[in-house]
Amino acid sequence: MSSRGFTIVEVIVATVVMVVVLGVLAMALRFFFKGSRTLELRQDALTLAVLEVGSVEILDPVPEPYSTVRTDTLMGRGYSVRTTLAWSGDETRLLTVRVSSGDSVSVELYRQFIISNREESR
Amino acid sequence: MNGSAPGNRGAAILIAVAAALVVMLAVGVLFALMDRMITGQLQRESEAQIRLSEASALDAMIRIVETGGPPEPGTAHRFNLGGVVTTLTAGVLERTDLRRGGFTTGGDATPLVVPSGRFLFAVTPENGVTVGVFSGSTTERLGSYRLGRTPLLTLASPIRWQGGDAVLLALDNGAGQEIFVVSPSGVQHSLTTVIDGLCRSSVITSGGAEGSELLAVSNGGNRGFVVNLRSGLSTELISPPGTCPAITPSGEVFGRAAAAGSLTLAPPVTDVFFEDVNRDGRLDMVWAGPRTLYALTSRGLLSGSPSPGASLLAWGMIEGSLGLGARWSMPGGQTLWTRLTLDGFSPYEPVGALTIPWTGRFFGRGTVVAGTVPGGVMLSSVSGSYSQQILEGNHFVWGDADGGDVDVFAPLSGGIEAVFNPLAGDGFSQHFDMQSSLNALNTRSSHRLLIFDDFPRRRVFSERERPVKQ
Repeated sequence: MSSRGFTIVEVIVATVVMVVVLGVLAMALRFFFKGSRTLELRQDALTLAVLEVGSVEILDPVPEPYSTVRTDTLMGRGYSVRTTLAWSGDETRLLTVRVSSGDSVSVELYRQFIISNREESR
Repeated sequence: MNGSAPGNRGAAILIAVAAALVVMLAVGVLFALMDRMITGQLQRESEAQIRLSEASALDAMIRIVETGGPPEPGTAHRFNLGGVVTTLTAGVLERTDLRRGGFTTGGDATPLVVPSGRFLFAVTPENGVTVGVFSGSTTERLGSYRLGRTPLLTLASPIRWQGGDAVLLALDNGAGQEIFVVSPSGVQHSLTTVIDGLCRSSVITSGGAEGSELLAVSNGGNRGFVVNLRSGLSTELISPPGTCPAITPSGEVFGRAAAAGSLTLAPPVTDVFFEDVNRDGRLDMVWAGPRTLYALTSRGLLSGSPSPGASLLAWGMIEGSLGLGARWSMPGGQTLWTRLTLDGFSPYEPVGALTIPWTGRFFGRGTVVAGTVPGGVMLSSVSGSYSQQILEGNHFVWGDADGGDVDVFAPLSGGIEAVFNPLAGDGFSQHFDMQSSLNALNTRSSHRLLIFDDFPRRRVFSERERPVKQ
């Protein structure tokens, strides 16, 4: 009977090893799930930003400079969509679309329009 | 406890280390997966910005070519937007034919085609009425809107709405008409009204200032309604025989209030358009029907018919040569041309392109004329020394869909074939190699600019040729 089992030192060392490893695993899982959620938010924010740029691209004529902030929902999550159309030269306007969720996630896209390409065709 | 067998000594540590290795391996896989997901997301964001920056660079390049002409081969232009550096390198300049294009509407139905300014609207009867919107410059589909009902489409016509190009649809719901104004960004306005006699052959005109847009709809003859598109209020109008009530682009109403119950017999009208036919700097109105042609100019209402009983075969304007003219079939079977002169319409001996058997409305400017002939669309020099059939078929729609001159469209099953600006004639094409870079991402593609010297301005269109693999 005395020839079976582990020594106390073995058990302590093995336990310490497992605790450390499980700690690392827990941190990794936490990082993974948090990162996945951030990526999902960025993906949705990119989708909203592309849609917002597309909705301005088809406007005819290109609107006068403006700035709007609105909230939009995608997959049950809320996003802030900030759209700014500003002069960026004599005959150009710069569209900036920034979609954010909280402080951590933000996606920004830019598109420039040449006004005279459209206006002169009238 | 202290007397373990030599074979078991260290086994607990071994098992723990083995388990630890498996767990660390899993953690490593998780990190690699996460890294890959982050990289993929960043690449998608970069690609989205690159697409937008390249579209902006092409717009800017088009502007440069429009104002300064084609650049020398080998010239590179650099653009910077959103951190993306886009370089466009010009290739050689080559002659090119007319600009052609195709629009895919899908399904088997032949769409109703409505060119409107810079866009082409294709209306198909799919689960009610579906309106597809296409860019006339790139032929890309910009959107598709389904009017989620199952009414009958009665009419479709181009309209200017809030300073932009749109299409007006009149749908019959049994009790009256539902009118929709659809722009590239969706349904802008709808109203329900009752217009007696509205049918597919009704002639529609629209105009007016923003906020008080008016629509005039004829019953095919000289009676019709003018409808305020904002309020839905309609008034019945009557106009001289051979014409129909109409709205000028500036919103002036042609016609007077009709007396209740009055009946008139008037020849039908199939086409109405606005042009400066007597070159006095003011828009005149022209009405055409199977047996009549009338022009309202500063000299009054002028008839283009050479004699009673003559049938109108073709009509149109050739700026700079014929002016407003018409081809008639006389009761005896012979054909005759009349044209508008300072003294009104007078007979005209056809020469050159006017000996071609045009049917319906034709268009012309300077030395070129385009129009429909039996079996297709013909483009000809006014002198007749050069002519070319540019489209085949029997049904064509004329109108502007790329913000330039008149274009011609052939609706087909599941799509539309187009020839753009045939009056502008041949042009030039120039290849451009486009390279873009953002961080470590580099893309290459090839584009072609089509350049037409369409007096008084140069018109430039872009076509993506192919992506180039890195």
